[in-house]
Amino acid sequence: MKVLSRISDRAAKRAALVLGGLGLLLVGAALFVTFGIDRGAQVTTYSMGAYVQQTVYGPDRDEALQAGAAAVSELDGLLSWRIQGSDIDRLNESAGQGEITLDPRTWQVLSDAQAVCQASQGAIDLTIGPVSRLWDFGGDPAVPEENELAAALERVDYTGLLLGEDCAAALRKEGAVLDLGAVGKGAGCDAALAAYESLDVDRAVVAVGGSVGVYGEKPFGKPWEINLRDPKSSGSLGVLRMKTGVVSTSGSYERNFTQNGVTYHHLLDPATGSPADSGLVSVTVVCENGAQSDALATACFVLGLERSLPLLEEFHAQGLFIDEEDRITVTGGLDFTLTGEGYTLSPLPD
Amino acid sequence: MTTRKFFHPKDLLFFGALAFAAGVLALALALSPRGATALVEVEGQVVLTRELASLSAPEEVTVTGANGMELTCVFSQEGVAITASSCPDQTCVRTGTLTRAGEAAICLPARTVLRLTGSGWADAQAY
Amino acid sequence: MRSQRTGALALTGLLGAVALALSFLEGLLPPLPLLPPGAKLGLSNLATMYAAGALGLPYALFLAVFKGCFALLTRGAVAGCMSLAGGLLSTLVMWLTFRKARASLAVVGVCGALSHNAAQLLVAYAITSTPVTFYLPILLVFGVLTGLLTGLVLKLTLPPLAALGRRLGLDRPDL
Repeated sequence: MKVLSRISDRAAKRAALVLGGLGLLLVGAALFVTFGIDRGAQVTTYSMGAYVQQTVYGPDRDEALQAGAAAVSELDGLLSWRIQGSDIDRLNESAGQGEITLDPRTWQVLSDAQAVCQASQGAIDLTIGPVSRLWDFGGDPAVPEENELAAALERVDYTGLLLGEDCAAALRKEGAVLDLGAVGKGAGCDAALAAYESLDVDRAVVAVGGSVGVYGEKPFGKPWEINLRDPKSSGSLGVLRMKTGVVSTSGSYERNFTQNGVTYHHLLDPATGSPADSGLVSVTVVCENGAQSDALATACFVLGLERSLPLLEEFHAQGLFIDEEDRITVTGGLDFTLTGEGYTLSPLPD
Repeated sequence: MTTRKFFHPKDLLFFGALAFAAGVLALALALSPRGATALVEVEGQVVLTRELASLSAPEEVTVTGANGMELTCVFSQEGVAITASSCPDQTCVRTGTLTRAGEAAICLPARTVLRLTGSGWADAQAY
Repeated sequence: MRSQRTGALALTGLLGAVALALSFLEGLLPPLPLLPPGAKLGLSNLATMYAAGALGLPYALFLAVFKGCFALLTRGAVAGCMSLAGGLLSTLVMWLTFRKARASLAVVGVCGALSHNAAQLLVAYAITSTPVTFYLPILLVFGVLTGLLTGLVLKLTLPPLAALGRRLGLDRPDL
């Protein structure tokens, strides 16, 4: 090549050195990016009938994983009405008989969730136990008989749950049954996040079933990116960006069964004892408190879009609503990018 | 007769340029995002897809490729891999676990490809 | 003195045998991880490299085709395509680098190895229609190393080869 012979040996050597040096630098950068950057520690455990996935970054990460898993598991032992001797089981057994003392963690979850029951005036009701047992979505679901359902509805009354000082609690009416299925997973996230507080953790993300809680800041102050599921396909609806808090979703597609050609989903309206019919398919709520994000998601599903908005505001929460016409409505403070197909973004009602 | 040399000082320029190209490629590869969706294609047709973020536990699937060959693919949140194959050269199995978008495990005898796509990886999956 | 043509043919035949022997030896080595299917050390490129420099393009290309057919018969259609594609492109590139660029053996070897790998990558892409960019960095490094090795071995084996070439009446046995 004639052009090459015009370049002197020395110039060629210098150019080669520069190019080679740059190349080595780039390779070094590549190696650093691949191996030098802090990779979090991950673990998946099983509690509350769901997978618990934690990703933790920081010096205490292995310890944090264990502490987080234990926290969720312990909370399950306290909140599950199916476990004999659990706090909730004891409370159910004591219905109409006076107060008992709960573990502070149980008491706190009840307190947080009850606030949503009260604010929503019963759109979510922790005492829905008698009705949810009839439907038995967790086992062999079937449509209850009308008279059975009516009798069970009589026993549902969130005002009957009383919480007092020093972790005291009581169920005023005999026959009242607590079922925390609607708030358990969000509360689980709270438990894991609390476990990280006392350890040297830089940042972490924990998922209990479909509820996801985040802890700490990502590098460069970037928000956490949470993938939301598209109810219709197995793909992604879009990405939710949040810096703190817990996100929970209530969707009719999560659990349902069909009897005589009619499909019944698991989000029951405490007023009727039957699946809520508000025109919504799914509600996603982001809130600082995990138990409340879970409770709010269920309450908003029952209330429908318009009546949910003031409720969300009261708890400083953000929401994403998907209705039966594939329209997505998002509250002002929610950072969401839609990527799923077949949906339209709808503005908030005035 | 002049015998051709093995090396000439000016060759350094050529190799320097190669080193630079290698560096650029290496960095581009290191910065490429983690794969979010796994695809299995047999003879150019997609036979299987999985969203890795929505997997709560590792999943094993047996795929039938061309020429009657069978491959076992494992999908998990950490990555995907072909763990077994009835092909003669086993290159696809030796490729190991794929984690980045664009990576692929190719089984030529079975005309089957397991690859990862996706513009990025969310920190978690809510559902 | 034998004519150029006869000498060239004779040498091509010899080189063909050498190529097959080297191919066989290469095949004995366990394949390495991280490489795309079919990537080999390229030692058999020695034969085509010398042919490209000493015998000219037609004889060198013949060798490449010969190797490709052998691979086709012994290792199947896929291996045959890979060998043919890689062999043809690398032979062409090496001939260009020898005759037009007048480059040194190291550069010719590396260009040959890189183009060989590039052609194989294209074949893999054509067969599977999968983006194969993932393999590029490792192939670059691998290609440079094997290219240098091939160039070096050729440099070392040049004296006997050149002597043989002279005996057979070739113009430029020394490349």
